[in-house]
Amino acid sequence: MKRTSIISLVVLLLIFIFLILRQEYHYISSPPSPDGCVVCHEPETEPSPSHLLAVLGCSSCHLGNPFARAKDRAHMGIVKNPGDLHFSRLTCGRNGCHPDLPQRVEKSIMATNRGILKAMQTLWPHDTSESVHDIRELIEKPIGQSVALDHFRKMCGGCHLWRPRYPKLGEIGRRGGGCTDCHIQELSSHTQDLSKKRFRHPELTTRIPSENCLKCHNRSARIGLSYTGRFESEAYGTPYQKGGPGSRRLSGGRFYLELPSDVHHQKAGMDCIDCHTEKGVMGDGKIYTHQEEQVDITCITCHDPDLQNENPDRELARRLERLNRRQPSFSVHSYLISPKGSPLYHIRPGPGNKMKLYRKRDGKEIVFERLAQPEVHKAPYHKRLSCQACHSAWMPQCYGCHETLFKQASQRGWLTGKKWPGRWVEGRSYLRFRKPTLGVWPDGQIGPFAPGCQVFLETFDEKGDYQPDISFRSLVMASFDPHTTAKNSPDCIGCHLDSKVLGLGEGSLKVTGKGLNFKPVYLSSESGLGIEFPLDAFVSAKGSPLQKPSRPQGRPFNGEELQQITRVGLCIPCHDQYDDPIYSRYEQSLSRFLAGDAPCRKEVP
Amino acid sequence: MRGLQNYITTLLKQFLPKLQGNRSGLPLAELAWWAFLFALITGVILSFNYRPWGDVFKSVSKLTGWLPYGAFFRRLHYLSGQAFLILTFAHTLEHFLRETYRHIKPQEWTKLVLLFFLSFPLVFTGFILKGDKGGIIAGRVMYNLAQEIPYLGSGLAALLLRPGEDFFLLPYLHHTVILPLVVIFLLGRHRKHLLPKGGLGWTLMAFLAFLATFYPLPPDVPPHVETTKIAGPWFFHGIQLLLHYGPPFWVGVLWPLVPIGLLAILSFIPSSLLKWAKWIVIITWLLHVTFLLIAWCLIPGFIK
Repeated sequence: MKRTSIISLVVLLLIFIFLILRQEYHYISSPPSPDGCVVCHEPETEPSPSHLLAVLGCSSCHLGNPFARAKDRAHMGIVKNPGDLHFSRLTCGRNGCHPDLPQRVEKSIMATNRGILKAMQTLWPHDTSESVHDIRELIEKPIGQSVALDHFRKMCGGCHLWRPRYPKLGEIGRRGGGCTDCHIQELSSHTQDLSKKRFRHPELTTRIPSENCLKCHNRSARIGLSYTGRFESEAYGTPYQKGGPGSRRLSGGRFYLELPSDVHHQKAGMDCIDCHTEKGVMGDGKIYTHQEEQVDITCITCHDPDLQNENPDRELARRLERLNRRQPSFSVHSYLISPKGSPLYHIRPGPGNKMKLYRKRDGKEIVFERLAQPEVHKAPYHKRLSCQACHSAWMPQCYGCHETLFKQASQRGWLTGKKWPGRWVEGRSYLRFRKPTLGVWPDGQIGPFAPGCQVFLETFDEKGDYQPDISFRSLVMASFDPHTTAKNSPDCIGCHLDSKVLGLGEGSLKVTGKGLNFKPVYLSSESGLGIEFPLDAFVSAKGSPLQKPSRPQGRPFNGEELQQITRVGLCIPCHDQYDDPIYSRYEQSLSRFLAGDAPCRKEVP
Repeated sequence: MRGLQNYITTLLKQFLPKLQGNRSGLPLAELAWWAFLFALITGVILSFNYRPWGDVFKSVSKLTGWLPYGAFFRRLHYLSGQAFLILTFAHTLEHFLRETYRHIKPQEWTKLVLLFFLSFPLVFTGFILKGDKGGIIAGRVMYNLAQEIPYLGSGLAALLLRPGEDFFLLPYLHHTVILPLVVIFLLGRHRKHLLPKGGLGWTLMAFLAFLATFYPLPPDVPPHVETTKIAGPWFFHGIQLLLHYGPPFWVGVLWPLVPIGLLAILSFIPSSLLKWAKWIVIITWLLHVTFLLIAWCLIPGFIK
C-alpha cells in the first residue's frame, strides 16, 4: 500500500473516532414528539386546551425548522407571533386549523381601517390622485403630500390588525398582532426571557376579555370607555385625591370620571363578545367601508327576537359552544341568529316572555325580558327612532379638534416606524358628557350624533411661517351608538323641547309663531374660532345644516322636522302619556287645536 | 491573438505541469469517478430516510437533525457531488487544452462532454430535493424554463417535474435512478475499467470526510419564508442574473447549452476551422465565468 493511502486511512480513522465522540452525532432513537423545539424550550403553561403542545408542538404555529439541531437553522423563518396577519395564513389559517379566518380578518374593518381612511380623505382637503382604500395600500404607498394621509400615518395608524406587536410598555405594546390582538389573555409582563428553557406561554382564548377591545376602543368615539362607565375628562385630574391629581387614569396620561355604565355592563356584567359576533368582529369575507356595515348585532336581535327563525348552522353553533367550554348544551333549546346568520348560541328563549343569555366568559345565566310596552316601542309616530336615540344615557363629546402641523419638526409614523418632516400637535376646545344630539342616521333612523371630528387645522412651513392655503376647518358630526344604554329614557320634553337633542346646541329655545327662537350658550363669534355657530350646533333654528355629517346619507333634522318635533313638544306638558288619545289621532287633534276647537290655549301655534 | 494564447497556455502550465504530455499531473478522471462513487454510496444511505412526497422539507430536516450521522452523510453526499462536478470539469478542461479532440474518435470526445454535461443536472436535481425554499424555487425555474422551449417545452417540462403534491417525485427519479444510470453507462463506455483503482481514492475520501466533519452546509430556508434573495446552485448564479434581464428561452436554455454544445461538436469540426472553434468555445466559457463572477462579486446582496 502506498504511503499516501496509509496516511489517508489514518485520517479517516481519526475522523471516525471524532464522529463517535462528538455529542452532536450521538444516537437518538427518535426526535422528540411532536417536534424538536422542546429540546430547548419547555413552556410552563399550555397555549389553550385546543392548542396542546403535546399535540400541535411549537412549529405548527411558530413555523421555523423544528428538526434542525443548530439554533440559527431551527429559528430560520420562525414567527414569534403566529397571529400576525403577515403570517396567519401559514399559521392559524393553515389547512386543518382555521383556513377561512385569516382571509376574512384581512378584509375586516379592524384590519383595513377603510372607514377612517375614507372619512379622512372625504372630509379633509385631499388630492384624490393620492387616495388609498385600505391600510395595506397605504403602507406600500410612498409618502405624498396629502395632509389627511400624513395625519393618519402619524396619529391614527397605531390601531389596526396588520400592526406587528412590539415589546413596548403599556397599551401600545398590547395593540396589534393580528389574531393575537384579541385572542390572547395578556400576560402580566409584556416581555419574557425566552432564552430560558422554561417560560409562560401566553394563553389563547375565544372568551375574549373586554380589556382586549378597550386597548384600542378608548379614543375618538370612546365606546369602550363609555360602556364601562368611564368618561375621559379634561386633563385637570379632578377630583383631586390626597392633594394631587386623581388616580383615575387612562393611557396617555389621561384622566377619567366615573359615570353610569351601560346597563348591559352594570346589571349583567356582559363583555363585548356577549353582543358582538364573530362575523361582526372578524368580518364575513366581504369588504365593508364602514363599521356599521360589518357589525352583526342590533338591539332587537335579542330584545325583540324572531323566534320562528330556523337555526340553520347548528354545526357551527355546536363548535362555538364546545370551544367556549362554559356554556350549557343547547341540544334541547333553540338559540338566536344574528342579522348576518351567526348563531348566537349563548342566547336562548326563556320561560314566558323572558330570554336567557349565558355570558361567554363565565357561562353565568342572565335572564332578561323581551321588549315590553308595545304602545311605546311600536308607536307609529316613533317608528324612525333607533333604540339608541332614547336609551343612550349620555355621550362623550369632544368639541373642537385643534390640529397643528409643524413642518419644521419630524414625527415617526405608526405604519412604518420611520420619521419624516411634519409634527402634529393636537388640542381640543372642551370635553363634555351630555345627552346626545339627535339627527338622521345613514339608514334613515333617528339616532345620536357627536363631534367626530371638528378639525381646525393650522399649518406652519419649514421656516415656521403660517400657511393659510393648507390650513382649513372641517366640522363634522358623527353618528354612532355611544354604548351607554340605560333602561330608562328621557321624558317627552327631554327630547321634543331640548335644543341640544334637536341639534341646535346648548341654549334657550323658544317656540314662537314665526318659528324657533334659539339663543346659544356658546358664542363662537367671541371665541376666535372663525365660525358663527356654536360648536355643539349641528343645525340652525331654520333647519340649515351647520356641520357636515360623517356619512353622506346622514344629516341633522331639517326645518320641517324641527317644526314637527317642537310643535308636539307644546302638547306634552298636558298630554304626557303615550296612550293619550290625541296621539292616536294626532293629525285630527292638531286640526282641532289649530281651528280653536280644542280646550287648549289658542295662542299656541 | 497568438500572444494571448501563448500567455494562457503558459499560465495553465503552471497549474497543470504535464499538459503537453500524454497524461496530466493529477488523475482527474479517476478522482471524478471516486467522487461519483462516494456520492452514490452516501446517496443510497440517505435514501433510506428520504421521502420525496409529503413534507419533504420535514423529511430532510429530520434526516439532517435527528438521524444518527445524518448530517455527516448529507454533507459528504453534497461535497462528493460537488467534487464530481468540479473534477469532471477539470478533466474536460484538461483534455480541451491538450486538444485531445483532435486525436480521438469523435464519439469518445462526445461521451466525455456528455458526462460533463450530466454532472450539472445531477447536482441541480439534488439541489431541488433539499425541499427547502431554494429547492422549490429551483424546481419551478427548471420547469418554467423547460416550458419555454418551442414545440417540445410542455412535454419536456412534464418529464422533468409535476407541480403539485408530486413536485419532488420526478426530480427524485432523475437524481437517484435515471441520471446515475446514464452516468454509469457512459463511464462504462468511456473508461477502460469501470471500477476505479485505489490510488488517490482514499486520499479524496479522507479529504471529503474531513470537510464533511467541519464544513457546515448552506442553511435550508424553510418553504414558508418570504424572501426575494433565494439563490440556485452556485454554477447557476450567472444565469439567474441574466434571467432578470433577458428572455427566459434565450438566456435560460440556449445560452447555457451553447458552450457545452460547441464543446461537444469540436471533434466533428474540420481541422482548418478548429482554431476558430476553439476560441469561440473559450470566449463563451469565459463569458459564462464572467457572469458568474458578476453575480457573486459585483452585485452584493443579489445572491446572499
